[in-house]
Amino acid sequence: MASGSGAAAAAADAEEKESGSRMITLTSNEGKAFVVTEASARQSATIRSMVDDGGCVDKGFPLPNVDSKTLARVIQYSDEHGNKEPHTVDERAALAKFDRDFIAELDADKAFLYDVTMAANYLHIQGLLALTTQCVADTIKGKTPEEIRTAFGIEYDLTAQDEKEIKEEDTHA
Amino acid sequence: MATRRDGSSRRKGLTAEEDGGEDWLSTLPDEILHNVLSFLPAHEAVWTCVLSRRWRNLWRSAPVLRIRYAERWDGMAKFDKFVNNLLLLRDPVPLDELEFQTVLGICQLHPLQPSFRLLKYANTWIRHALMCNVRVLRVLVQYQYDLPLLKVNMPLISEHLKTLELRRVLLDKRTLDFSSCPSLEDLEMNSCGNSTANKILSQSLKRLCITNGQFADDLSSLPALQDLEMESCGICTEKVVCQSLKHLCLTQCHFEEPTHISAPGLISLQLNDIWGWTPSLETMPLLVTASVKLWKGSMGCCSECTFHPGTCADCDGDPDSSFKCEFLRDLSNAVNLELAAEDGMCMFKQDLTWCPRFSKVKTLLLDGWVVGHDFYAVVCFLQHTPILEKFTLQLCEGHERMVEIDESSRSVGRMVQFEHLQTVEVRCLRNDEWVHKILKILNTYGITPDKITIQIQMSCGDYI
Repeated sequence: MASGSGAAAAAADAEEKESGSRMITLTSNEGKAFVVTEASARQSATIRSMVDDGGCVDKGFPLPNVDSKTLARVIQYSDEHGNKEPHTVDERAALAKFDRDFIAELDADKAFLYDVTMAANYLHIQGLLALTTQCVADTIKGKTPEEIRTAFGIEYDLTAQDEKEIKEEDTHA
Repeated sequence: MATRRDGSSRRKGLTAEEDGGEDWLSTLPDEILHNVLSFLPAHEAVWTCVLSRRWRNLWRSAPVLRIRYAERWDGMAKFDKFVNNLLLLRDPVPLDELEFQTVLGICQLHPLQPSFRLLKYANTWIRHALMCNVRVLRVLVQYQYDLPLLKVNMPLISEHLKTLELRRVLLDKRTLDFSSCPSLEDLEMNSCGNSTANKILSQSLKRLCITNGQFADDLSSLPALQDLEMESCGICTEKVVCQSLKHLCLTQCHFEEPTHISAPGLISLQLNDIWGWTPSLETMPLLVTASVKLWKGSMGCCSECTFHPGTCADCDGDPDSSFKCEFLRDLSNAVNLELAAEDGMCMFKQDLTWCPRFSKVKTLLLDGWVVGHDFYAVVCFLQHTPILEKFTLQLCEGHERMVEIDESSRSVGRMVQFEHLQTVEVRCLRNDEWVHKILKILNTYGITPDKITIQIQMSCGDYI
């Protein structure tokens, strides 16, 4: 990942290393440019389809829904998953560890977790979305409804009618 | 593109959240919350309906249902009712994935009357899932005691079904005909009894994985199969012919009769702890990786060896009578080769006098037992691997006997040229005088100490 004026140099460097691999510019809603490898960008199904449709690779892709801080973090994920393909057991273990550390850091900052989840959904980065939503699910798992409400600050607003219907549906295990 | 339900600016809200606990989770769009619900067991996903009005109906259109922990219901009847309710109350939207894990066992209320009610509904649930365009279907049955398998006895018809995973499910012949599932690519069957002894039919299947079962198929009705994995299976088929097969992995399988495997497109071959008859393999020009570990019960070197195991030396030097000679030749196209054998097998010793040329092998791992503790055999192997770059020698308990090396083999060794060899790794249980002897011998063949590393491992086979 590179940004701003250093991006061009970094891009040239990377291009030298992997000949034939294009570089793609992603621009955050604050106008900050991020240059990434095509392999990294292709982690996003949204960008992948735009590239494959012969979209504006040279002009880059503006991402009006993603701020710089979030985009940088998302790129960190797609670099790790897009630029190297794990072959050996060790490489796969290293990638799994990256994912664990990545999500542990996000889990500690819920606001950021929210932003990255929204960005992963918008960019259709399936692996990242699974990682963040699994993290939320893990927080919910095994808790009583009251505990879940407390954990996420959910306000109880069911009416008596709702409660009656729920009882009738009889889906409580 | 995801937008917030209320369309308001979120950043501001989050600051508030950090101060005092705004409900950020509920502001996520439905599609993301469906994703969250997909990771929960179904009974927890459904029960989010009591959280708040926002959550009241979310579960109904979640694309994944994982029905798990059947044992937590007080009896099969209640579990059945729960699942039926679940499928009934769900919105009529496509179901991507349905997994149900059930325990066939003793109903807690009536321990003396095993409950089989579940069997009645399982077929209904499967049919329902197929009607909801399910792409991934997992029917995983656990069991207590020796209860019969769950029977599925209807043809599966679905344009969408891509992955089917079954545990302890008995399929009849009609069900094994997947010609009405044109998208099916991945089939896993674990402990499915005699199901897999029948022929499996599918034009689209790419991966077949069978654990703990019988296998008697010749694969002739699976023209698109690329991956075949079997573990703890009895294999009783004369031949396996598959042009499309790329990866074959057999672990702890018993060849109950001599089997001829014709898979000319094979890229990787793993035979781990196979026993019974050693299979014969047709030429595999595309082979890259081969890893073979034979068990003690392996037969088939020649009739003498088959009926009097351990007398392999009798057919020494006679390639025509030696089944395993061909076995080695079959592997000669590999780039990465690993050969190991169970304690005392001296598997390939008799083949080495005419050892095939492994002209493509770049990395080679030999287990001490493979060469019958005969260092001459190691040298012989090295002689036939002209472009070898990395050689690993794995020594287990009892390797002391290995270095019984005589002058004649030394003279053979001197002819060896190790032009490409970059590293030699010796793995052993301890670094003792025997290892030093081996290093010394390697040295006499021109392999300098800087190329050799010694790895001490806890037990044999840590690396295999």
